[in-house]
Amino acid sequence: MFTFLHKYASPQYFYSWSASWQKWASIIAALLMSVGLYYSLLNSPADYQQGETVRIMYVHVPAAWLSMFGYMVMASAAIVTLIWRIKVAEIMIAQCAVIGASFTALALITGMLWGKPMWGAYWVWDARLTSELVLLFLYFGVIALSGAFDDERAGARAAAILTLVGIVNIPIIHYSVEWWNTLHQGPTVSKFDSPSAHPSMLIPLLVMALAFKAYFFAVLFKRARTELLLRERNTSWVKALLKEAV
Amino acid sequence: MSKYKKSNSLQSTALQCERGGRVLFDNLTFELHAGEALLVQGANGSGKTSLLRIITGLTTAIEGDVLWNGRPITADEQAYQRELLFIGHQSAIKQELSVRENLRLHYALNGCGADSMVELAEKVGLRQRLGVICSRLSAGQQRRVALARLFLSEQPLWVLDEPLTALDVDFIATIEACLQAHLANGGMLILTTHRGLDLGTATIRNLDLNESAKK
Amino acid sequence: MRLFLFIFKRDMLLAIRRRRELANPLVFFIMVVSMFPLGVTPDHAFLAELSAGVIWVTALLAALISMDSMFRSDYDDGSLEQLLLMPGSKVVLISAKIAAHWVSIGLPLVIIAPLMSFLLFLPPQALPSLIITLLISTPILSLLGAVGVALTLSLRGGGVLSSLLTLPFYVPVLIFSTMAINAAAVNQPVSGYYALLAAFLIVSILLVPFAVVAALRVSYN
Repeated sequence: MFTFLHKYASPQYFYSWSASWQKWASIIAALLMSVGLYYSLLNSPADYQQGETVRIMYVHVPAAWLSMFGYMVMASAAIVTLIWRIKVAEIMIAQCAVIGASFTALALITGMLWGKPMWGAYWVWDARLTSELVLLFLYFGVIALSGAFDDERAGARAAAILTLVGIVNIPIIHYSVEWWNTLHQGPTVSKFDSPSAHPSMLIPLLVMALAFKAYFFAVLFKRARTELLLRERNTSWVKALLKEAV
Repeated sequence: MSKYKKSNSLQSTALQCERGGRVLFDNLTFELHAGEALLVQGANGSGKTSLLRIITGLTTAIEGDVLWNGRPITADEQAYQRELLFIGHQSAIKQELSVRENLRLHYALNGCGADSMVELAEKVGLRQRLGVICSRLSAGQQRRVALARLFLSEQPLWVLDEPLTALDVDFIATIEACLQAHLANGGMLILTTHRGLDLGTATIRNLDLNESAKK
Repeated sequence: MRLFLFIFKRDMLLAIRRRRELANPLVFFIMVVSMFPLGVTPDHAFLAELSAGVIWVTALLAALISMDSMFRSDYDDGSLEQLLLMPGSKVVLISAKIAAHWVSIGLPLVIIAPLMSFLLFLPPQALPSLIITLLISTPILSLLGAVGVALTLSLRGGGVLSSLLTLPFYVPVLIFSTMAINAAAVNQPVSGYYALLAAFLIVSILLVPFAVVAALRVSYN
């Protein structure tokens, strides 16, 4: 296991195999995104309650799912970092945090846009929005911490510990917010989570969710590869690579 | 007569350390046996403190292990720490406590010690100042409080980071005598210092970090 | 256990020598709480409704600003290295340090909290639950704060960053505690909230010291 991991995760080896992964992830993301957007924006029914605004859901819900998914990928990278000290995993943490934070922000913004016509205000202390907000704070913490160290590897390890403390805390935060919300909130439209499970709406939603995940990996690989070149710029394999390119 | 086991040894497999993407040292190896001293030399920022931290086990090297009697120090951390005395760059003296209270912490850190507190204070020349709060002492006197641990120590391996900073000539002679006695007893010594030090007849090995960085 | 007592006594002795500093978070607590009537309204009913939240948020901040002292001076003067190199369990060592920090910072906050409730007209029937929630939760604040502080120990200006890292983790504590107090104010049952807080405390006691030990290793990198 260990030698296997070390071989495939050595910076040079990772750089070569991730190129095709990045390419395929981008292609899949583009395909799914065009199909998903067509169905969700043009070829799916409007909601009987929410009208055309329901189409925001096709972006909002996948973004919210991805914000959680991104944290889980980050936590996996954190575990690998702490146990095996693998450079590529160390780089992944900060990159996951940036992408995850962007999608969390997207979920918040689309949630606010959806809220204006539904609630009459851009911001309501709704359970899901509040949870996303706290998640955004957690992402900010990881980004700030990993960037604060002069030594990038120490920064990555610190961020890894914070990520893992976070992963224990996220469910607790989530349930506390949910509970707090049911106690304080009067009756509001609570169909925020999932558009009714009718196939004509569910399928585009799932396609969009997959498209987002493919996009996530495409960007993650792209960013990780760039960062890897930057950090390894003094090594012989990067120098050889640059010479080849010139 | 030797107080410590003759068979004690400390060595390393190729150690690597980098800081902020810059390699401080790579493929660094050393070896040390009972009764020997290792003098670590290098310019500022060459990784002396990092190396000492790796040797003490406060941090681990990116590559390579430190071996105590042939076994990695991480394998049984507590057993290794019982054999180790480390005095760092900072004195680890609590400014708010009196000399007596700080010495009492030394006893606890060392586990035991033959001398009574008054004898110990006498040795480091602070007998008259036992009740004084350490923030009122001079830098040299504080350093003396820190180095008092050497006289208590039952550990065979001493790791000292710039032990002579701020000391006066008389006390440096005392410390030299103490180090010589330790080595004669079969103890081991690793230290960094900017000034020359007389270690008597003991074998002295040199480790130059400037050279290993160039490699 | 001997190690725990040794560290605990050492840190308490140091805390007593620095007692002037210990008063600072308390004074901060009192001052911030008294800003609210000035900034919002001195109205009795309104403040009473706000009181649980205000006292709790302020207690949170007071705990947060004092977190840095847990390891800072030991790190700066090198004694933390010595403690970590003592033969003995690092987890016990860290637990003892956190316990000592709680006794010197958290406990005083609990003790003066009734005074705050008096200033903000907290309904008297809610006072016991204010004290109980603070008693269960301030150790959690110290524990979670220790992670943030340990992670940022080697950084310049680590204090502010560690607050940013720690605050999101305080959300459940804040929610459960204020909900308990508000429930008590309208004479509803509160034991469920206490049980949740206690569970959170136990999980923190079990897990946090390990995270802190790992974090300190990074700081000594």
